[in-house]
Amino acid sequence: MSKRSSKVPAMSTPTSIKRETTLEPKQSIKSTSTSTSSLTLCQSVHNYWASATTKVKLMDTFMAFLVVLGVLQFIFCVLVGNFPFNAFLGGFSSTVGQFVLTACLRIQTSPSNVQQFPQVSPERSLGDFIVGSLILHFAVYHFIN
Amino acid sequence: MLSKSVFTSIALAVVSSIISPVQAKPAYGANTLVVIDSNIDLSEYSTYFDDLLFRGYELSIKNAKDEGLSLFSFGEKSYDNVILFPTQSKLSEEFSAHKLADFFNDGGNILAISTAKNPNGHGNILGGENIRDFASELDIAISPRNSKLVDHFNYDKDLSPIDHDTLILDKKNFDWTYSANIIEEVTLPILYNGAGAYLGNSELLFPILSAPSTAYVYNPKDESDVLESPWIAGSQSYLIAGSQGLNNARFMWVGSVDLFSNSFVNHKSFETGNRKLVNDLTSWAFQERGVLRTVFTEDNLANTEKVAFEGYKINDDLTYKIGISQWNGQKWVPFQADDVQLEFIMLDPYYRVNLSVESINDSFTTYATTFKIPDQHGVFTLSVDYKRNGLSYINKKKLVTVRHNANDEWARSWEISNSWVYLTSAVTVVVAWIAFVFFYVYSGNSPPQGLKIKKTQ
Repeated sequence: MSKRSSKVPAMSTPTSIKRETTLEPKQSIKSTSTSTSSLTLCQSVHNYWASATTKVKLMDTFMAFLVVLGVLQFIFCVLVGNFPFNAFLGGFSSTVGQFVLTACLRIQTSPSNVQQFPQVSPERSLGDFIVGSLILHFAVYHFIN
Repeated sequence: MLSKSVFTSIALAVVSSIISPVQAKPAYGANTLVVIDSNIDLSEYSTYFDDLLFRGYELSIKNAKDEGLSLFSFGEKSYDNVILFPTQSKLSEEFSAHKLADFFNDGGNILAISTAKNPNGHGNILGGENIRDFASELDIAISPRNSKLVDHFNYDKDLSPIDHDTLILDKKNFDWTYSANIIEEVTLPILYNGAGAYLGNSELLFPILSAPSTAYVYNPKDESDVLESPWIAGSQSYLIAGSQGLNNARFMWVGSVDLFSNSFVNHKSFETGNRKLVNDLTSWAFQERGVLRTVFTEDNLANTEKVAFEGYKINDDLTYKIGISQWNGQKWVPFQADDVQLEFIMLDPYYRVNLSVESINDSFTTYATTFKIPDQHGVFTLSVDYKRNGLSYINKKKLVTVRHNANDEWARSWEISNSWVYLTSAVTVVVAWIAFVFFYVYSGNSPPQGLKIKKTQ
């Protein structure tokens, strides 16, 4: 318990700094991006790379990977047919479920949301995430048969 | 000349009966009651009775007025077969249409004979009323008493020179669709003198002999110069009809008692087919002819032995077998046909397939078929419903339960190639998830790059 309470302020420091820093590029975008939307997109991507922590990037990559996998399965199902429908549901819902769980983890641990979840520590979030994922995959493998 | 022809025909009959290799007998019972009364001269029907005795029938010839004469004793039927002659005296309550129906329902066979003649020239054939009542329940409407059948074109000049009521009938008057299994082919002319009947549409009724198109039935009391309306006219008038109940008991109605008489069997100027016809009719009515029997039925999974068997499953292969034999007058022999069908029914027939001959042995033919149970679970009926004119009905039903696949009988997902895609995906997600957790835990809390720059500044 003492370990957790000691860590919480350690986490909060970069976020407070980040909050200050994120305001600055936004203002700069507003002032500079007047012409095209592509420029805005580039700016925001650049901004993301500049501001996001490694963990956030890791989670985002994982989620993108899940989306691609889910879409591929859906296309396969539409093209080839849904014959082992339980297998399709299992495979598809494993990607969807994992996406949702990862999204929850991201919301709870994102540096910008710390104030929203004062009682939820990052360790607690990770623990919930792992237990939830294990239950999800247990169900999925039973469903696929 | 006359005596010679009579002699030869009698001699022929005796010889044929002696050398006849097949002495037919009924399949089930030969105990026969013959109901007559004083107006029936037994010697007139001696040929017929001799033929019956020769074929092994046990005849109990009883007067309708006998005390205690009954079809039943202690609730069991006393006779296998009954021949009802048209008695002048009224039959007792023991022979009411109700009792006759009880007898018929109990499997008893009835040969009922009507007539249009009043032998003594007076009085009514009251015994015929019971026959009329019972026949009407089987959809045979016999013409009223005192009416008779005449034909001014097909009459016998020797026996009815004035009345024209003794008809000469031949092969084309028979309804062979129905009678092919009941009587053998008729080659000689048939003499007939008697009543006619309307037939209803009952499916259990077999019309055998119809009147010529120029014949009609009328009441002689109405006789005047012009006949206003005959009771029935033309070939819609039937003279002989049979009926078989769903219990395979048989009823035969013959409209002419003279058909059985010696004087019609031995006509003085030509040979008649009456003797053969009445013997054929009697042998059908009393279960000598056209008698089928189911020896066994069997259903099983295809290509397996009959071992402790729990029931069928959807998409199983089912083999059905039925053994059918036919009575040939002597013994049970294999019955051969190509139109025996099996139905597999749950409300509707899911299958109606022809059974094919699998094997033939001494006494029966085994019909068999194999089919795939449909992809539908429930309680099905295996049904062989074989109803052919003049043959005993075969109606065998068996309920079988068809269950669906049990939980562990479905194909596993890795046996289905389509699901490899989804399996791969699920495995990939787990592997990626493990990798993700590993990297997440060990990635540390590196601050964003932009922040680092800012911090240094």
